[in-house]
Amino acid sequence: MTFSNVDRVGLEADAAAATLTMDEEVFRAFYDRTARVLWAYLSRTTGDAQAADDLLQECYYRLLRAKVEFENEAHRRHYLFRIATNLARDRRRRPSRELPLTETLEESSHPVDASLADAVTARRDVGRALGELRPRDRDLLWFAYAQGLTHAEIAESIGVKPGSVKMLLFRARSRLLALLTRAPGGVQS
Amino acid sequence: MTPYTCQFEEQVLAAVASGDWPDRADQALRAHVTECATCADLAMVGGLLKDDHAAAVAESNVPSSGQVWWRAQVRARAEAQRAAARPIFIAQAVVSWVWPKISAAGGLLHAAGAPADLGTVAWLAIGAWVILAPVALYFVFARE
Repeated sequence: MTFSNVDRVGLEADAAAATLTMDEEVFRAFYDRTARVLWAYLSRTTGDAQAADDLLQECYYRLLRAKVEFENEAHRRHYLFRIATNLARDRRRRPSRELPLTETLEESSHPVDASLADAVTARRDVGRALGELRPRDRDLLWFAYAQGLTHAEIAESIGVKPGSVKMLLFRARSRLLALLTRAPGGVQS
Repeated sequence: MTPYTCQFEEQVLAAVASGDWPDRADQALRAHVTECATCADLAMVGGLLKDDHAAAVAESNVPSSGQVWWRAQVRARAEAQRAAARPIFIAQAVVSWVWPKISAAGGLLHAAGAPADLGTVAWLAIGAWVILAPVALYFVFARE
């Protein structure tokens, strides 16, 4: 039995398409547990909601094509955030129009009372300060305090030695505090 | 810059993470935080980032899992088709690059007075080897 080139291409393509490394049900459950948290991270680390939308799809695609044996859910989750960290880093290296985080926050917020206005102001200050931090500091702080990861988990997600996380985190926190207290109407501790 | 660590840091972080900080936190812990600069900084940064995280999650509007799965399948299939078709394109490119040269060389050989049959057979053999060898090599190494 022989195949024409076109048949062969079609057959190989079908075989390769089947190499998404998770089955659909497992993927959908994992996605439902992680997508919003991943989007939140991407939007804050890039400062751009549109970029977060694009990178979200790319993160899951790369996860689905990764030929990695995941030991458990946590391992898969850290791998996903590692992909996200790398994609966000690559994006920063490319010149593109990027909305500052503070602009995004201002557009999406419509304060109607004093407490909400305070909350929006605080978020704007945090967003501005995060935007001024070095990307690694931003990732460290986000993973540690926004997502509540352990030092070992942070190390795995951003690719640093677990033993250095404590020191890096301390420095990042000090820099963020310096930026926050410098901000107009800066946050008081 | 040496990190000063306080034994209450874990408790402060746990209170922030659980949403108990500051109103529902332990009275002794609150008293400690008013006197400990490290824990005060931790509580402030932790609280701000946790609130920002909650706001970002609330404003997220992600596509459905089915949509993301479907797009990934379509893209994987398209990439697989491109990858599978690559050897064919390479073979076609090699043929289109080599064949005119073989024809021209055959013409020169005839013009130089070589016997017609010998020249044609020899050049066809050389041409076939030149075309097929790289294609065969590609398939061998591509499989590996």
